[in-house]
Parts: sequence; structure tokens; C-alpha cells
Amino acid sequence: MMNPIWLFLFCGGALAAVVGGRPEMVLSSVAAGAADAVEVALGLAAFLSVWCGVLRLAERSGLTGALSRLVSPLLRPVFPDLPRSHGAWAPMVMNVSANLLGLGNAATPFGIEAMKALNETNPEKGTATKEMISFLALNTSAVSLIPGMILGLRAEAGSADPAAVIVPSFLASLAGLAAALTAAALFARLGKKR
Amino acid sequence: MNAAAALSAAAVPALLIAVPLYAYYRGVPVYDEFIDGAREGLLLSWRLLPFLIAMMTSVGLFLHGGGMALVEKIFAPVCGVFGIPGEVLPLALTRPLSGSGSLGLTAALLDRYGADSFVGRLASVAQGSTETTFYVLTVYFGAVNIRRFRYALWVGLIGDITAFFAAFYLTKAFFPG
Repeated sequence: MMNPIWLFLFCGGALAAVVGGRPEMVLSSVAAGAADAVEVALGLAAFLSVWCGVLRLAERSGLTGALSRLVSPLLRPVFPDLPRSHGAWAPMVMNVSANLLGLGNAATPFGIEAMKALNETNPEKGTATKEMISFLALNTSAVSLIPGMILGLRAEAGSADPAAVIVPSFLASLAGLAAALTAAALFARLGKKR
Repeated sequence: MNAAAALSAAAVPALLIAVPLYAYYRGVPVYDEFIDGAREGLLLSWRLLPFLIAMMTSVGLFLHGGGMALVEKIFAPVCGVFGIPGEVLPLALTRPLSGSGSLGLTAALLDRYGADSFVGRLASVAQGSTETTFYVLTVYFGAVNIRRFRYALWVGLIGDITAFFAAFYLTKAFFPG
């Protein structure tokens, strides 16, 4: 499914530049995009290596297991078919907690850890499972108690009350989450019938 | 909300202090294990790079080459139907594709219309209540080498569209007049 989308963005974007009379944009956009990707990967490398190191300590000491036993009942309705002993619960709980606290960057290593655990019981490697998709719905919904970046931007732009948007923003992200999880459940059911 | 912000600020230092101490107390060889974990993190970002390059070059082409401008023209009437100010349309369309791009657009809207204008508030709420869906899928699926996303992208985009409309109506409700 990514093939046509990637083709559309890549070739459609290039075609639009040529037709629009700015063919020079093609090379510069590709170069800038690739440079951005390298920069993001380097940033991730620095950040992920530290967090994965600390994460390893949390795992080995039994901390993540204990935490997930406490919090995983809250997540259980989202993953009804995932066995309670599954290794993905702990990192999923940590990922959701970090997101709630507005620690987007800290949430990523936990999320990747969760994806690895989910992939271990994936019968069809290379294809997304329904648990993975529900888990990503949790992550693409940006449910956060503190949208830190926005508060910073608003303060910088001279807002009289930068924090005024926190509650509507939280509610809007909940609406998005509810829609995404409902869609995920419907798609999963459709897929089963076929 | 100050309590929540303080909790958020304290979470990272608390975690970084408590976890290694507790692990050492439990007899974990902290230095060796940290290095093993760090190696894993490095290898992971290396494996992610081709996925990121594929995604960010195509998104960059689409945003800067004029493809996005065409899509905006197509969606402009939809905004009119719902009474959504057209100024935030580029933000809504860019948000799932590019995190830095949408952040730049939000900053520009705040700067141009004021952080406490309707457009400024709507941009803030919309930016804060959505994620860069393409990036999240690229990183998380890339990490476990998944190429067939099945319905994951539609689920993410349905969430984004819903959150954007919710942002519009909630901003109207929270800041009347």
C-alpha cells in the first residue's frame, strides 16, 4: 500500500514542479529531503542510544515489568487479543506514559521496543498486525497532557495566556484517538471476514 | 496545569537518576548493560535511515515542488463549507506529512495573526492535538522492517481529520466571540 502513495508523492511532486515551471526545485527538494533524513537519523542515533541504554537497565532490574503489571489493565481494552503475559505490554505502557507527559522523544524508544516485541509473535514478518496498527493509532493521536512545543511557540509569539489551548487540544486529540481506534477495530473486523 | 508541567519537567531527570541506581542495587552490571543497550539504539537508527530518506525526499518534493499547492486548491472549497478559515488549510494538510514543516507553518500563523486570535488559537489546538502520522509510521514500522502497512495509514489519517475538525469546533466553543 505504501508503493502507490510513495510514487504519488515522489513523482507527483516532481511533475508538479516541472509543469509549474520550476524544474530546479526537483533536485534541491530531493537533496534537502535526504539531508533532513540524515539529520533526523543522526539525532535519533544520539538520543536512542542513550535511552536504549537506560531502558536496558530498567528491563534487567525488573522495573518495566512491575510498572506494566500496574498500568496495563488500562490499555487492555485496546488490545483484547494480546495475551496478558506478552512482552509488549511493558514498553507499550511506558510509551503511552511518556506521551501523556509530553515527552515525545522519550516515547520513541519505548514504542520501538514495543513494536519489536509485537513483531516477535507476528506470524507474517513484514506485514503489520492488528495490534501494531492499534498501537500506532495510540501514537499518531498525540494524546498529551502537556503539548510543550505549542506552549513554547505561543509564549514566544507573545500570547497573553499560552496555556489556554491545553484543554481544547487535549480534547481534540481524544476525539482523534477515538476515531482512529474505532476505525482500526472496524478494519480489523472487515479483514477477518475476507 | 502547573503541576502537570512540573511533573513533566521532573520526569526525565527522575528517571535517569532512579533507574540506574535501582538497577545497580538489584545487581545489574550497569555499565555493561548500558553499552549493550546503546549499541542497539545506534544500530536501530542506522536501519531506519533508508526508510527516512525514502519518506522525507518524497514528502519534500511534494511540499516544495508545488504538488501541495494544487491539493490546497482542491480542498479550499471544503473549508468554506464548514466555515473553517482558509489560512489554516496548509497547516491541516501538511501536519500528517512533515513535523518540522507544520511547526514552521504554525509559528508563521501565530506570528502573522497573533497567538490569541481565532486563527492563532485554532492553529495551536490543531498542531497540539495531531501527530506527524507519516513519520510515526515510517519510524515504528521501519524499526521492525514492516513494508506492508495494511490499513495503518488510513487509521492514522482518519484520526488526524477527526482531530482537526474537533480542534475547529472546540476552539469555537472555548473561545467564543
